[in-house]
Amino acid sequence: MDKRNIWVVCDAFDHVDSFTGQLISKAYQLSKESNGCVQVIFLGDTSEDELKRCALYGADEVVYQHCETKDERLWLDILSDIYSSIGADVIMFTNSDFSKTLSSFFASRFEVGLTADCIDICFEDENGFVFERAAMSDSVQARIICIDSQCCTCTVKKNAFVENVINEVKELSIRKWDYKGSFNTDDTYEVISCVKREIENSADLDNAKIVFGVGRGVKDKETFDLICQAGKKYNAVVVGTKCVVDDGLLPKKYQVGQSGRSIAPDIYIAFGISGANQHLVGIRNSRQIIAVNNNENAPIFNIADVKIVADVKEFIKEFSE
Amino acid sequence: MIKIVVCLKMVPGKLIDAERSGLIINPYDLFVLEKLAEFKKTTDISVIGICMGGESAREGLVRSKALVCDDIYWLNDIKFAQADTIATTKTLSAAIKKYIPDADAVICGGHAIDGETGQVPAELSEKLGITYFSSVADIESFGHDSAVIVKKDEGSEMTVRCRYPFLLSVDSFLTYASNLNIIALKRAQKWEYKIISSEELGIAQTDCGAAGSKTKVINSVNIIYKKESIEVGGSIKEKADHVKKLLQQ
Ligand SMILES: Cc1cc2nc3c(=O)[nH]c(=O)nc-3n(C[C@H](O)[C@H](O)[C@H](O)COP(=O)(O)OP(=O)(O)OC[C@H]3O[C@@H](n4cnc5c(N)ncnc54)[C@H](O)[C@@H]3O)c2cc1C
Repeated sequence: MDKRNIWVVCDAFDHVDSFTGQLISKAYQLSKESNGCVQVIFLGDTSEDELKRCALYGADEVVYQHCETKDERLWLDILSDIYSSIGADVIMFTNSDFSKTLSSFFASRFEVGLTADCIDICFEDENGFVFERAAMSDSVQARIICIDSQCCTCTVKKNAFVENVINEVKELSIRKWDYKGSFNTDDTYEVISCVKREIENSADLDNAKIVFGVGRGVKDKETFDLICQAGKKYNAVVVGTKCVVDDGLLPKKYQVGQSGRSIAPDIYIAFGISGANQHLVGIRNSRQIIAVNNNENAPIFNIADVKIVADVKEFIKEFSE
Repeated sequence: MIKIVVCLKMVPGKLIDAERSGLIINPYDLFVLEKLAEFKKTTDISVIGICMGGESAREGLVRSKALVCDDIYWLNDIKFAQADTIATTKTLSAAIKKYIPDADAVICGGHAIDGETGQVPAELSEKLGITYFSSVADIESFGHDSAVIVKKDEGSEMTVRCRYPFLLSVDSFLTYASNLNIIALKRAQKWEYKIISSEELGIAQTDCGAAGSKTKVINSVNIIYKKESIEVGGSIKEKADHVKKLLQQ
């Protein structure tokens, strides 16, 4: 039987970044389960040495197309060209803004299934490739397959997979692609002004040992401020649920969960958080979870190590003493 | 006159407010409607809403009409139900091509708060073959042959002039409409909403709804494993002290 082609599309342009490393590591694992071949599709401008690094994570092949610009439509055309020629069974994209657009263009052009923001992928004999993401209902994760579709595509959440250097030496083949189409990009728009924004620095959250989570049970500014003060004292980063972020209490970068970030601190304290699945997927790798909630049946207590039934306001007042 | 199509999705109100029942206008789409209502006071635009949804979408459509829409196409057919993003995109693009082929701009909310995939706008622009702008934070003006928008990316904030036709994916939202006028609302309630079936649209059954979908949810699993938790009892002071101790370790 022919090997299945498992693609990882690298969008870092000039190097193999750690997000791509995470995807290749997962692809490698899937290739073992499904008799597959891991192919990294690299568009952009980089060196051969850099491309060779893909082998560290388990890639079998790199398809490299040199190009000077990072433009979704151009990349779509190049990707389509490669796909039409060598084909793919699964295509994994990161979930950067750029790749979200690119993957949507691709899925729409070829009318293939696309699952957004996966947190896991597996291969099963009866179902083929199965993609997992948060479901609409609050307490479960949906398992999704592609039907009637030439290939399966997905975007993957950052840090859902672990970047892993394999301990076998792999023969990596590098195939230089020779795209014959036009490299011209869209000229229907004109940038009038552009201000670079500080790229949101997430080091504080990625490295935080202690994180305080705020939910809708934190009802007033006073309680919120007390939690922030306590956060300073214990060197904890304060994050929130989607509801709290939507209410404008915290910026979006501090939203934890399915449509926010994933964290893995030593201690996570949930203040007034109900424990919807979309939030839990972001905190499930915390070493210890402490939950404060006035409803003794709140779902958050199901995954908490330490359960505290209390009013948040009263608790934090005492806690800040 | 600038012709603008707005894609509208109705989502469960309880996602915003536990007390709210029924469906409401997706907050990202609501931002677009309010923005266009502002423009309408000063600029010659016509706003056409397009919505795929069942009977429960009516109230949201009435509000959309009252806010700003001059016309609304309501793609309402059980055959459209349970569409994934590919089937949704095919249905919406078929409707836009058939009823509003001369649209200058198509505007979508960047996400629907019940699905959060954010894929439909990009997929739709590809199907319609028009330029796509993602992460749009604001619209500054609609001119004769182009519009000026503000785009906020991961690393930059850009002001861009884009030539018609184009599709915008807007990443700002509102949870409550502020511009709703009672008289307009009453009038909108009496308005006759055009209901478009799959047959009327001329789309094959295999291209829309569940049958046209390329993805399928096979089952749902709980990936969150239950833990044995230790309950801390006692007075509030004892509880707080317990946590303090854990943090100091
Ligand atoms: C597609 C999709 C994606 C989503 N993505 C995310 C995401 O990334 N992150 C996220 O967090 N959510 C996400 N959500 C939303 C999620 O489903 C929940 O709605 C949200 O997490 C609930 O937030 P909450 O716990 O703050 O609020 P609520 O569910 O309203 O819970 C408030 C809690 O506070 C408790 N409480 C009330 N008063 C007090 C008091 N005085 N003292 C102590 N406790 C009190 C209540 O008992 C309750 O348990 C998503 C939803 C969808 C549909």
